[in-house]
Amino acid sequence: MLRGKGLVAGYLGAPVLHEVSIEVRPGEVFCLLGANGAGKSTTAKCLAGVLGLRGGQVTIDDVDVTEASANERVRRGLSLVPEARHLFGRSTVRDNVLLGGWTRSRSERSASYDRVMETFPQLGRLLKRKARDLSGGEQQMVAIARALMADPRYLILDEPSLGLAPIYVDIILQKAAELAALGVGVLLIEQNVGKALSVGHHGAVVETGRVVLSGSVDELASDPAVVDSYLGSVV
Amino acid sequence: MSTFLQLTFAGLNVGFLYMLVALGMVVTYQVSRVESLAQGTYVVYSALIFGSVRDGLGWPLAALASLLACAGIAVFLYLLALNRLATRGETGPVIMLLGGALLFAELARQFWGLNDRSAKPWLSNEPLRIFGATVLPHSLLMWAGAAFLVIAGFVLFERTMLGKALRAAADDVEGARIVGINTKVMQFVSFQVAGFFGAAAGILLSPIMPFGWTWVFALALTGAIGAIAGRWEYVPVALASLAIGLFASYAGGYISTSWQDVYIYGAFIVVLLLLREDKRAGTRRRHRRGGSSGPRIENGRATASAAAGHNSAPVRVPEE
Repeated sequence: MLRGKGLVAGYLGAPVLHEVSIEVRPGEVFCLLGANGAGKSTTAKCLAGVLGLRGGQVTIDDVDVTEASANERVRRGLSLVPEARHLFGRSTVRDNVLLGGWTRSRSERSASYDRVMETFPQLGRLLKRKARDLSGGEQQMVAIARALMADPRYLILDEPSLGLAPIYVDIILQKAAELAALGVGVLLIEQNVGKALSVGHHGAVVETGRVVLSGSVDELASDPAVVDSYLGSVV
Repeated sequence: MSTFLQLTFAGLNVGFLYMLVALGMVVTYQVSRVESLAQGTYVVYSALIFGSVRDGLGWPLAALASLLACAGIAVFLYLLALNRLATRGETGPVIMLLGGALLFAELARQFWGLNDRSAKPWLSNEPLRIFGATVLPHSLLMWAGAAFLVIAGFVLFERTMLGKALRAAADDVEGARIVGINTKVMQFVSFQVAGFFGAAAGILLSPIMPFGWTWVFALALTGAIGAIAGRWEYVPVALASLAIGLFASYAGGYISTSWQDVYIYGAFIVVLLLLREDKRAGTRRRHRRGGSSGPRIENGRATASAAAGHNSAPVRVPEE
């Protein structure tokens, strides 16, 4: 289980998270919902080790990784697809994907590459193009493919549908559900609440750096506050 | 014809030297985003150490001593430039490396004196005749060695996973960290590769060219000219540096050696003006230093690397 317990963090001295706690189980999609600036991406960065904590604890399968660097957490089975994607723009798509397997042996990397390319056959025709030259949807697929190269047990998808055409949103959320079915624990941070809940199992709502609601997606979808604030007429 | 060839041979000697210095700077810059003005240190110390111990140890062990010394200098310069204090701000690491170069230049003056020194050749000192011009066997070795190093460096960066990771660490620090690349290790490697380039240049050139403490800054300056002229890209910088060496040799031979530096820097100013034209056209690339840089704003918010490095309140940042 990927667990963040009592996470406290912020930027430039300004606190953003106030003791946020979440748990992502293997084989489920956990939806982290909330408005812009609520602290969803900050939570993701703290879990992945990209942002330092001021308090709290992060564990991966009961191993405390609070003091572990981002690259160590990758080795322990946690991959992040950040909101800004952070692709290597000057490198080709193929190199971007291959670098996702940096922590693995050559043979493991080769096997992962074949598997990832089967998952995202759309990337086959883009392999020689520079990542910076791709569309947003294509870049998002590359970012997820890169993350999958590490063969993660837990995957954090931070706003994967942001700015994408609807067709890419459907593809990416479908892939998230398929990964969960294969046993990967997926933390899905998404503003498209209706679509996120449609593929999720559990979830939590974050407001101003605090978890205000958590439970199964059915419980969340039926909560009046969630319906009023995020779903509107969708459900 | 023979004069032209003779000048070409002389130009190749310094051109390959400038090339190795400039490429060392490019490697450091591309991975660590630091303009290393201490690159000449490696060449000078390698050449002086090689010359000092070559008689006692023989050239293979002397070469090893030079390589090890430069590896040690690279560790020192890495720690000097990329420590937590120096990396606060864009110019900090550059100033630290400039200070490091000053220190090493002064130490070289103390240890080896004011005069330039060369090493005893280990190949024949009889010049070879090629179309009426003469060239020393050591020059041929220098050209071959430098060409090999340049190609090996290119293969390392373009064809190996380590090279891809090195470039990735420079391209996007946060992206590198989230795929498990230890960016600090990559930066350390870049300093070592730069040190190796400089050490090799010193060993290869010391039998045919005297070096001394004054070369520390002269080489850094010429290397920087090549690096800037080639826009800090590997192949263009290699070609630009070689061209500078040849240009200096032709200018010195056909016009006047006393004005040689004026030609080089005059040409450099012209190149800078041309680059300025490109900048106005909006084609100049945007660069930033890695996780050690100042705050960066993307999508309207400070990125994690910025926050990690510049929070005013104490924060536990996981160390790489």
